Amino acid sequence: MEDFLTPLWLSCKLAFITTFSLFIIAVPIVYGLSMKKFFAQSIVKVIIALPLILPPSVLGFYLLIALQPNSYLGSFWNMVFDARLAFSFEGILIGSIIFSLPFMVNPILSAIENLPHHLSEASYSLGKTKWQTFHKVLLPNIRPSIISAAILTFAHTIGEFGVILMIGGNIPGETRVASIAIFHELESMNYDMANQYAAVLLVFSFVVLLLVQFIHKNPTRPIIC
Amino acid sequence: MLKLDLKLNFKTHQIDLKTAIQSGDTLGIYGKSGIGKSTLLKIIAGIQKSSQSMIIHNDIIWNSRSNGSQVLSKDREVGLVFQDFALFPNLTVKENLEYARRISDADFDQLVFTLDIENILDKKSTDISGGQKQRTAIGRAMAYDPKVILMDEPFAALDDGIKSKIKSFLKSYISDRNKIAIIASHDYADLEFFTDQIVTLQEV
Repeated sequence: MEDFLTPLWLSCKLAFITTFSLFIIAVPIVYGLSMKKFFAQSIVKVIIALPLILPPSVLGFYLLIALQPNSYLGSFWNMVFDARLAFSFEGILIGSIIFSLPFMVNPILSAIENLPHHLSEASYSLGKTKWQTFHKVLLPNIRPSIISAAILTFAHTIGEFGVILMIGGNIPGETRVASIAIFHELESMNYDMANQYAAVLLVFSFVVLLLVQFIHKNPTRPIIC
Repeated sequence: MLKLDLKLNFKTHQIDLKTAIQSGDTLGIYGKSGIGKSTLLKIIAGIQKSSQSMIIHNDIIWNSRSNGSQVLSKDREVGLVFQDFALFPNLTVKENLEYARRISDADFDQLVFTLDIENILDKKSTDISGGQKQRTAIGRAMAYDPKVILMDEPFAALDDGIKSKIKSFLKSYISDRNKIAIIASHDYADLEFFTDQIVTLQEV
């Protein structure tokens, strides 16, 4: 039973840390993209959205190159922590954060851009800065979108396969998350076990999408005043 | 003193307004819906840009045609009452006022009493009537203690009883505290109550 639960636990741990990290990262990114005008803004948006259409093998390949022991990042990691980055939990965490970035950033950015302009205008006219307006007026008014973005990021991370396999391999207790475990059990001709993992992920995905539907149909607060 | 030299080009018409307003005085802007009253107030508030307008407040250039320099909205100390109220939906009535508040406790209590919003202070701004939203929007702008108060159709959603009370309060507030006020309205009688300095906007 412990062997069965370990990949599920690893998946949850990876998804939780990814979601939390991405929320911290996404807020300043969304602030920069929505409140500031700068050169190459469109390029930044494209780079953030790239994982949505890029084959996981492409992203996985470049990440593997970036994380290998003789790369800048890999050697720095090895020097500081005396550990490898590729084929480790920390490595798949970095890959997961990059791969899921658009799932957190895009819904929040879209919600901010769709808020009525008069909210930010009212805040500016009352002497508030862009940052005060962003975190005291805009962010609180897109709470349902933030929750949806977090749930989708969590779910997307749980379902990641290609990138994790390429940069993390299939190391039990380290990088063998639930999606990799299905692949592993299939290769071992252990269909019953593969079926159990697949069923857990199927039910999980269904519940997550149902939850997102519920949040969008019942936002905690109306957007327009 | 607020000096205005505004030139706005719309698809169907132009607005060319040149005037000055002394402290304690009110400028009325009269015109039908869609003529550009709201745009004009937003330019004065600094939340909409205009490269063809000159605005000077007490010798400080807010908008300039020559170099396009502009004092940011947050630095103009302008209280704008929006036509559509623009209350923050995530906040209660009290929190909306507190967000802007720069006035003393005594002035705050007096403001809340005069606007008759004491009983709705803890309600979400989404859960109150149109008239209550209007009064909250006026209260929020006044809680900011602005040097210039701009009001876009500030009485449109008010019942007659409370309307005359609030108009009287605003009139004495503007003159007693030496505020500069600009009121945009489609109701000429409302403007006449405040001032005889009324500009009529019309399609040219």
